[in-house]
Amino acid sequence: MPCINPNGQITDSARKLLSAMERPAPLPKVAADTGLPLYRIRSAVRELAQAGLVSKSGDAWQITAEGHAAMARSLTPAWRHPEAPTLRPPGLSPAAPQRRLL
Amino acid sequence: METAVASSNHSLPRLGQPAPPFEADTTHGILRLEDFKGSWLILFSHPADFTPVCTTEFMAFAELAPELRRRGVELCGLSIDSTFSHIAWVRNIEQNFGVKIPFPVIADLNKEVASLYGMIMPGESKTETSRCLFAIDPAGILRAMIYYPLSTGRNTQEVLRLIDALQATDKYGIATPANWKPGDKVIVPPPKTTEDADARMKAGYETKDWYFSKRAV
Repeated sequence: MPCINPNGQITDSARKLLSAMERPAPLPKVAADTGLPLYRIRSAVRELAQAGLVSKSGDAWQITAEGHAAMARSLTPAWRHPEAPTLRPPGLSPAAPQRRLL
Repeated sequence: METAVASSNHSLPRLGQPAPPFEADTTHGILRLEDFKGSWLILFSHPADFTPVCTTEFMAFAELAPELRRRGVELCGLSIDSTFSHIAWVRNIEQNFGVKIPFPVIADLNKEVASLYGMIMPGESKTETSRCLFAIDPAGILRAMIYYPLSTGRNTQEVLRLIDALQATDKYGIATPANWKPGDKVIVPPPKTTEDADARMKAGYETKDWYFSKRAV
């Protein structure tokens, strides 16, 4: 299950997974909480772990600080993103993001 | 990422042995065989995307998927097509026929998974997989194989019957007779000693002879 899109942001499904791992949880519980098949959870967690967004302790997986940061970034519109301030044309108000030149 | 496999063994798989491991690009991301551990898996190949018989099969498997899921069975398709082709095809099926394909489809462009599982029959086609189906149990053991030619679409009810029979065998330690379906009596494995054969006659089963007994489950 692709968890990170070509823009480097986590996908909706990854956000759902990370939310389910706010507290340490074994993968079958994550599958039950998200309603996704276990094979998709395993595949996704492998990808998230490679990106450092989740970590394992015993049988349980939990979101990392980097995972929380990725969650926050994914909820931030690109024009407000601190790493992309120059993407907003000068004078363009945040109230009119539809005019941004992205 | 291209499809990768954990072994270069290209011999045909064998029943009762571990299914060949693989890691492959799919329409649901990169999947490994081990991701399905703990579930039954129906791994099946089709000749090509955007072909009529395969389209009917995909819709039939999609229809069967909820019944399989209730039995702890996952589905995974495969053909020698790209992920982009698979995505376009499953979207096309949904648009034209209103059927959503819920299972992943392996994009086996380099034929590595197809080779591991003996899915290519050169007498039929060197560039397409035949209609092969593998039932893999929760421990990763290959339990059944079905091979159909390019011309003949599979009967998904037979796939369901096969899963029911395999799961009944595991649950009750029995075998299933020809044309068995859930609710029918099952075969009690024949005795292996003369002492057991004598005992079998008095065991209370529906017994025709010492080697042929049935019972309800």
